[in-house]
Amino acid sequence: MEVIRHPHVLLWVSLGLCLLAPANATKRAEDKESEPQPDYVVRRLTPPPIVQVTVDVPSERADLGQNTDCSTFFLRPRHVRFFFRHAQAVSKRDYNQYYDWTECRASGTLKYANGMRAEWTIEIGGRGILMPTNGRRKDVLYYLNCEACAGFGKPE
Amino acid sequence: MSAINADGMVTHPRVRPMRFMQIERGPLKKIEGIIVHQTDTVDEKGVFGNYRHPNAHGAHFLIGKDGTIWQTASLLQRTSHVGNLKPRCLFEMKCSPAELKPLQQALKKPDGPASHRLEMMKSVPARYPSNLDSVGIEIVGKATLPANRPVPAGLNGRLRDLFIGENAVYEPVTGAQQASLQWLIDFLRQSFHVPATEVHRHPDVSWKNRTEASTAQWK
Repeated sequence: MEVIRHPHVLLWVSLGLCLLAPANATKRAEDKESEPQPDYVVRRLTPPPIVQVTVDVPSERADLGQNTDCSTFFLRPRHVRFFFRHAQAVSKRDYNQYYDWTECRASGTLKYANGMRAEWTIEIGGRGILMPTNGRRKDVLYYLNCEACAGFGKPE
Repeated sequence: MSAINADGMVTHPRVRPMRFMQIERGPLKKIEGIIVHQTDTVDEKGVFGNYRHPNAHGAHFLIGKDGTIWQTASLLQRTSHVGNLKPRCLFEMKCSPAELKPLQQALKKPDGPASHRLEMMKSVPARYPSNLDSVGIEIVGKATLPANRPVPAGLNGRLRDLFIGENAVYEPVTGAQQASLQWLIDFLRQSFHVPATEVHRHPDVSWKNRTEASTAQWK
């Protein structure tokens, strides 16, 4: 079975896409005043198996002023499956602030066993965004990072 | 008398403690540099909320819009605030032939880790300060799209988000933030004997939005 795994939360759900509240259920009521803005809630994604991966753009360069040669980056479906097996959810702030900006990226779609479809973008540095395009979580953006993926996607 | 206590917290009245152990990553054995960041939030609450998440990344200090300095991590602890390092000798045009050859090979792989690994084999000042040997200062400030660069029509969802992330410009630091930043940098430089040449903006040392902290100034 293939699932998106987020090792730091060690939560596995075999059916359906679900959002989990931050794991601080014992937080006192007065702390609600300083709750994070919605943008910065880590959305943990624990979906069912991926049954189909489509790579629409296997390699493209975003112009971020680095003039990177992206010819050594070419994503195939097996890379995408690897990414989603190893990626972990991160906050939008950490995604933009901490993880590397890299110019080489790929994009496409995937389908889960429960019929859920999603669009994805994966960068050579290991960052990725997933956005369901149907179902309960339609248009929700999930920010991911895969440490094991940096530098993957070499052409064959 | 030292203004840093045994827990690595600054005891000076100008600094307010707000420690988040979630962002601490183990002993910080030496401090050789200071990295200045901006938060991409409108206020401190967005940062504090993020810091409560498991495995959140963060810096040691946070400067609010009104100049309030919060200490969010112990100075005895590392935090993850830098990311992969840019090759310093390349950006300062000081590479020796021996450095240049492996670097050129690493840079053929257009991802951060290959050249970062090479950098981490060096010491400051041959490389930029990293998470292992630097203090991070966050300044509250939001990045937004400039008026002359709106989101292209028809760009939605994931692509809209990518466009905003890549084209947003950080707001200027306020006068109160500027004064607090200068005080804090002076305090840290004196406390840890950090040379002026080892105080850097985040995008100067790592692959980030180039406007982050670009309006922050220090002597």
